Amino acid sequence: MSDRSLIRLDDVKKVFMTDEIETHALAGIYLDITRGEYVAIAGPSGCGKSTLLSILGLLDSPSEGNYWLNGRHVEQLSLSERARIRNREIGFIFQSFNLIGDLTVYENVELPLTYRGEMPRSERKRRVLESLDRVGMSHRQRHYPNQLSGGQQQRVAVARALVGAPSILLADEPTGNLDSKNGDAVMDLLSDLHHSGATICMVTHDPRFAGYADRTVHLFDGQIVAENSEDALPRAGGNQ
Amino acid sequence: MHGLISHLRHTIRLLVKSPGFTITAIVILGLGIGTNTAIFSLINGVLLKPLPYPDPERLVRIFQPTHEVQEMNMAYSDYLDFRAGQHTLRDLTVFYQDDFQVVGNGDPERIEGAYVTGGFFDVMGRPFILGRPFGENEENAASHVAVISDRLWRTRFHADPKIVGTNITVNGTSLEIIGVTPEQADEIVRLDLYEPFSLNPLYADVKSRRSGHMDYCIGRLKEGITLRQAQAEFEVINRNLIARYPATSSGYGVKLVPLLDSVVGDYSSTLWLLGGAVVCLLLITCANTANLLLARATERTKEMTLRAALGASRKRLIAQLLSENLVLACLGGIAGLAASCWAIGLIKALEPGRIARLQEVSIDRTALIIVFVITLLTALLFGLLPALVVSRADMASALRMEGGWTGTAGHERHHSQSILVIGQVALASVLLIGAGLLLRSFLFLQSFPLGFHTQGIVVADIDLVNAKYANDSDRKIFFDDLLTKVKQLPGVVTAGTNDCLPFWNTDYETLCIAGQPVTEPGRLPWMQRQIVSPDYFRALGIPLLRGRFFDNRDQPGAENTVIINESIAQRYFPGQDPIGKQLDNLGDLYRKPRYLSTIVGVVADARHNDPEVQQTSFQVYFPYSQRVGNFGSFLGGATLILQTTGNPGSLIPALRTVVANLDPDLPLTDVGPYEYRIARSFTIKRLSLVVVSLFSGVALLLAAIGLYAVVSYSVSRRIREIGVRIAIGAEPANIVTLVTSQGLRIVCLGLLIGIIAGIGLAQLIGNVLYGVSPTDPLTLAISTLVLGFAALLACLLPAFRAIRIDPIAALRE
Ligand SMILES: Nc1ncnc2c1ncn2[C@@H]1O[C@H](COP(=O)(O)OP(=O)(O)O)[C@@H](O)[C@H]1O
Ligand SMILES: [Mg+2]
Repeated sequence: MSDRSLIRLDDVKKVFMTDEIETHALAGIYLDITRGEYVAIAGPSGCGKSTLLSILGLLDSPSEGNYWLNGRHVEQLSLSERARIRNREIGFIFQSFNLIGDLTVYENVELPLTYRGEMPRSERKRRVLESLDRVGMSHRQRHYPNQLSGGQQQRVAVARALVGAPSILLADEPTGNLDSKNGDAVMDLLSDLHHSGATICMVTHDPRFAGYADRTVHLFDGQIVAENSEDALPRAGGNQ
Repeated sequence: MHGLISHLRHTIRLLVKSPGFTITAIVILGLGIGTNTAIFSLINGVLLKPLPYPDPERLVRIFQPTHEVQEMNMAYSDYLDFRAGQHTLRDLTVFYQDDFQVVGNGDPERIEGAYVTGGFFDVMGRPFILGRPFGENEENAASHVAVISDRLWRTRFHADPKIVGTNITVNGTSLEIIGVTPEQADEIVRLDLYEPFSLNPLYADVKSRRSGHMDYCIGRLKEGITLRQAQAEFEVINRNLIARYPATSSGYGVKLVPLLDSVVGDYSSTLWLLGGAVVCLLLITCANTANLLLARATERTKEMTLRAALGASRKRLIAQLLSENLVLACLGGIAGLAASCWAIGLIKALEPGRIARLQEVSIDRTALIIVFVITLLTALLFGLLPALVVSRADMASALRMEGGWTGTAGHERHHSQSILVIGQVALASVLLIGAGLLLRSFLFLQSFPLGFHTQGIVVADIDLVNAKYANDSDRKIFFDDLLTKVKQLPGVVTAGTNDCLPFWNTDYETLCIAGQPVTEPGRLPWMQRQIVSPDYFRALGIPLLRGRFFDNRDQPGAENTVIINESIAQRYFPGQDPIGKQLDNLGDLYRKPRYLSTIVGVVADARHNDPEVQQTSFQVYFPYSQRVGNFGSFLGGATLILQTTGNPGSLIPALRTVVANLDPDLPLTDVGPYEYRIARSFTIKRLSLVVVSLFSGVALLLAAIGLYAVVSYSVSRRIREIGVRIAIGAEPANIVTLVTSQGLRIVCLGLLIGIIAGIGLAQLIGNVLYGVSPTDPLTLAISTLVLGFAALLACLLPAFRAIRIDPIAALRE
């Protein structure tokens, strides 16, 4: 494994059992993601994209196969160790934003940091403001999510994903609930982040958006059927 | 009609589909309706319900209060004067209650009866099943006649229809039965036998002199006369009496009170305490019902909106909700009926017949209906909310509001639910504080130093009412014999007798020290008079402080002797030796033989009643071998006290054999450990403790259910939010904190209100508390802890469900 390799999947399988019916959501995935890379995962609905992302994000475990994150074998980790890794190493961006309605924009972004007991309030504040600044939402920090447009909410969600300085951002169809103008804006934002060094793994079914990524992995029936690299875009320095 | 049935079927299907909700609702309604109905019935049955006589509100009880004793009974000669002089009452009557021994037609039996004056049956408005009452002529002639209760008629005479005219042997005297009167289920005292007042063995005594305040006096107001007018007239008569008989009447007042008040007066504070507890619980029940339905209503707003969107009319929606709540309320009502039957049974079982009218209490229909209607109205009000919301708000926004895809639940909280739970927690903590105070007070009374031993003490009552023991010497011989024989029984250390055993019987006389100045009769101090055998003090371990116990020097004809307690010694002989000083029976004042008793000993104070009873601390003991006291065929009956080693239970048959050998006709009653008798005097306090504890338990449970429902409901609304939090790295501990802190905020607010209200309300029950202040910090702390613990549990259950939420499932829509 190269020292730049952040994620490595080795013959990862995932089987769901429902009412005696086995669904092979993932059927032997081999995948390497290096630091600073921007990977898009594409494929038709039901092919296993979200399942793959859940496993990458430690929300779920593979039925078979091995997964190394940052050189660490993550299978035997306890529930709270997995929570700690999700908190520090991973930033999630969801299709439906998933901001917490009772909390202000500021509080939403601060949330991941509050789960790290030791961080002083002033440090948290610095990071939250910086993160909101990066997505251009610092002027809305006192608003509640339902006072924002969809595009703005998704930018706040991106800020929340960024605030903990994770090793990788995992985005599941981040533009799925947005109109094309707002969708484009979010995609531009992700590109900017990539250019400034972030590692991103994004699920999309829109080939237009897949074009933003360095590399697109095509999934079909739980297997990787094709990979193509987009070298049209310049590659980032990758020294995050 | 068809529509209604299909409606009902649909409703039942809906309720069966959510068994958790349905069962919780029925349990809450059942507990609430049940306990409330039970206590309402109790209060109404004991306290408020009219007495079972014609025009009971016209019945008054007449006292002759002194500055020391408010509820002083009537003296017979005063009764005669009041009766002769008054015009406001239709009539008045006195009676003197006593034990009677009946023989023949079965085993010897002891029954409660009374010597009543001729006007008794008329004043009380007593009906007759057979025969007739006796009148004034028979009373004046001291005719040997008796009226019996229908209970005695059935049990002893097999309801013989020809009973009138036959004879019954009572206390060794043959009396002609002239009437049978129905048992008055809930009258003041349960009596089985009525004899003319003139057959009273003390009759000659009380008739000849103006003293002896021992008769229960009842009058019936004339039509159109108020209690006030009668009171005024009696006061005038009383002033004349004082002017005519200053020696005996000064110091005594006269007081007329409604009979019902005087019957239940003793327990009214206890019953109102329970009443307060009921109101608390009723409010909690309503809040809980409201809460549960509100939660369900909010849950169903979306369903209702959809139905409305699909064209269901508002009427239909309301009908649907109405029928659902009605079915629930009815099921709850049935559960409540069952629960109240059970609760009343439980309370009766805990109370062995000391509270007037309690054993006759049954479920009160009015109470059941009131409680049911209040709960039903709450259910309807809060159950109909979703229909109102739907008809009020515009539907599109209601549909959007609920679970929109843009994020987790919106920025609106559920204030009404939280307020309801805060209220419940506050009420529950008030009840817990009340229960805690009663418990501490009860423990204090239980642990109050008695001044004598109870362990290993066996007691039994013996009554020498038989004509065989007419002479004092016969009685003395009997008791001498009995004590000698009993002391020889294996396992008996020593034995004694007392005619007024502590916690059982009390007799008062006026206390006068020979040579010290006499005040007016109504202001003379009272003392408790006990007639004991020489070994009484040894048997109960009452220590001798000075002088000696009684022994065989104290014989008839010898110098009269008496033993006093420490309180008398300290009050009347400060810094002196009381031994050799004398007590005066004030015979001159009471127009009977005057005699002096010489103090031979001083013993330590012993508690004679539980601390709640108004009592004097002065106690004197006379030896049973000498005739003593102001009134009295002395030692008519007494309690035998045995100090035993080993198992007292095995001694009882041997004791019965000893008594049967002495006299087979003599019943030995209430045989058993002394501790049981003492426990009986705490019955009412134990009862209120049990009831309030039961209440606070139910209240705690209901409040916990309410809290659980709110927190649990909030978790179910926040599943998605919790999923998000887990995804971004919240650890299980973070989630538990998140969920419980919301619940505990509610609890803290409720507790705060509850403690403040509890401290305020506790002042009101101050007069039933002993040895504990209404603001006792320990009680407050413990009840807060108990409630806090229950609340924590109620929050942790949903919290543990929250940490098991699968974030993937929560986030997938
Ligand atoms: N929890 C689950 N239980 C059963 N089947 C599941 C579960 N999650 C996903 N699947 C199945 O696995 C397959 C892949 O699902 P998913 O990863 O959501 O696809 P995609 O995101 O590519 O649309 C689908 O057939 C889906 O039905
Ligand atoms: Mg998907």
